[in-house]
Amino acid sequence: MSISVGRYSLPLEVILELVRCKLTNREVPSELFSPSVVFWSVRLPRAIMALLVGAVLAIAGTVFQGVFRNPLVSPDILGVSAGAGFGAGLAIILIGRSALAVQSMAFIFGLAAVAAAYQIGRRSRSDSVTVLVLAGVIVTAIFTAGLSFLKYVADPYEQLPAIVFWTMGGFSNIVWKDVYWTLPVFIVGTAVLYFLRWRLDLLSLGDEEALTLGVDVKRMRLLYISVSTLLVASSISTSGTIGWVGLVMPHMARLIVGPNHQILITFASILGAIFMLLIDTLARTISSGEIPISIMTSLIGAPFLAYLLLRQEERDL
Amino acid sequence: MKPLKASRVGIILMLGLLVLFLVAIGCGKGSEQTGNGDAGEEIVVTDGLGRKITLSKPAERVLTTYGIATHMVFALGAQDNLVGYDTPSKNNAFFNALMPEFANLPTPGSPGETNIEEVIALNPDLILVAGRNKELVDNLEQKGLTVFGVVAEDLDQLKDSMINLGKALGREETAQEFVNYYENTLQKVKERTENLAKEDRPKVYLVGPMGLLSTCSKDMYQHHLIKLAGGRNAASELEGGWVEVSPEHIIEWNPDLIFVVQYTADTTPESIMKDERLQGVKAVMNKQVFWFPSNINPWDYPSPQAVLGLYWVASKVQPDLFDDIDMQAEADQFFKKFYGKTYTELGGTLD
Repeated sequence: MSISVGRYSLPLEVILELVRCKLTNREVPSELFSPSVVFWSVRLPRAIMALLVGAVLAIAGTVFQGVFRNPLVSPDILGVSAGAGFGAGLAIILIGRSALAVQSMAFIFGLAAVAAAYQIGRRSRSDSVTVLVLAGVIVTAIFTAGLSFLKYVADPYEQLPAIVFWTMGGFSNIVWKDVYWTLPVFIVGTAVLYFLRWRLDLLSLGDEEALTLGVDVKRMRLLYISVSTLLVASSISTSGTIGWVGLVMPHMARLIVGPNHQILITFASILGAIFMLLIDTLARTISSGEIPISIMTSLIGAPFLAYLLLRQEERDL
Repeated sequence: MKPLKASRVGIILMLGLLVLFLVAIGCGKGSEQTGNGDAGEEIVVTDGLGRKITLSKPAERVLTTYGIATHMVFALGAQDNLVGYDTPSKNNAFFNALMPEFANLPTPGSPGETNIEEVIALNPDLILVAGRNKELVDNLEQKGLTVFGVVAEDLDQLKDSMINLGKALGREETAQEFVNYYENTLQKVKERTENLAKEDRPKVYLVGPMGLLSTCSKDMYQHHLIKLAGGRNAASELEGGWVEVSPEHIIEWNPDLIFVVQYTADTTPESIMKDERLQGVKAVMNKQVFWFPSNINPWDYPSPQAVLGLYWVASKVQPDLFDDIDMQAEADQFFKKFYGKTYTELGGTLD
């Protein structure tokens, strides 16, 4: 469905014809050349990327909430996105625009941001779930300021557009190369988290309980966080920072299938993928231009967080 | 209740002192200003915001915090009067090539962020700022400084700015020469293109600063430039400055030519020619994908060199109507006249 609607009209029967051509290795009729390019080179990679990024963000969010035993966290709330954006900006200014440099710096700073938020949260005396969220706010503020500073000192003609371009993202410029580049990272990362998902249940019981059950809590936690951060950083590197998906999707999934991580992760990833594809389809069809995707996810995600907070309050009373 | 009241009185006292202090500073500046308005005839000019500015003599200490204003000062040949300029121009190879001591001058800010104390310390006769930053204009004015708000979002405003700045800087002749050159060019291009029918106007897709998928909408200067030169802006249905589009837009618009501004991110004419998504687009099939000049300064926005940009676009979209124009020679002549060195001497090329 999503691939048939859009700026360039592609009726379903044209798509079927195109797929038939591909399958039977037939030459595409000349009048279908443009539709063929739109379908195979623009819309298909874009839709696949949206599905992948949605799934990955939802998985990372689920893992974060399990590891931190805190329903209000997600990679973007704990500063991963801000840290990764800063790292990328730093790489563009200091090292250059090579993809490897930018992505590894994004990963390193993303990880540093979570570490910082976690340390602040842990050292605070009050042990409430909100402290970790506030720590995330602090870390995000610092890295956002850092990124603004980088933009200020960047060369306005060479580096500044590259930084803005990188942090803005969206799915509009996705080509097959992006899919090939990120797919291995996504598969490996997701596989690791998927096969270790049962331990998440143990971790979410609390440190002491997990220890008595023979889980090396520290090492597991580090592993979970690094892998999730890697997933988020590599999704940011292709589609920019997309907020709220990682926070909201696990909750929706939990409402439907309950808190067992064994099923939760799978379900959240499917939900995330569908949600992302839906949002991206909306982003490119609502207006005559392209609406930045983070606007849409924030508009849907932020009210949902408010709803969660209110519901929690009711239960506490 | 009593301690609270005491502290309130304290705050009021402190506020009162602060006000007095500010008033004292304000008065000091004011009286200084009136002190030196004696010699010669007064010069009255109008800035881009329509404000009247009075100078006792042509400005000798000029400061700019706006790149386009810096360009104008250079085009008027008044760069030796600069006491400082906008931070983003610091590494501009063109300015540095024209003026060896340029790199040593202070840079007290950009259109958005200006260090007002440093501005005051430089003691300029005239400050050129971006007119769109009205707050800064008012703020500097209240400090007793003479401020000229530069607004050049279209070709007419550019012309007015040059004339008024020429007066203020004592470069009226140069300004007049510029305006003449400018009006001749405009007239020449207009005569040849204004009666073109829609189907004779090739469609142009302009790649903007944020890479392949950013382009100029119909409220941008670049849109008018393309239109005036005898083309059609592919994105003329969109509005709102630089806009984001999807590859589907470009495929659907199917432009005849694609221009790429040289300050863009991660896009080159080569990358567009190789982009599998654009292989069916006329511009790519006919190899009509070009860098928008120049490698020295962008010619696509309303700086003084925009006239050359107009010629260049015209020669690309209507090559038959403008086959008498030798772009490199035209640029050489313009640069020699207004900057003292030819375009070729400064390392300028057209590709």
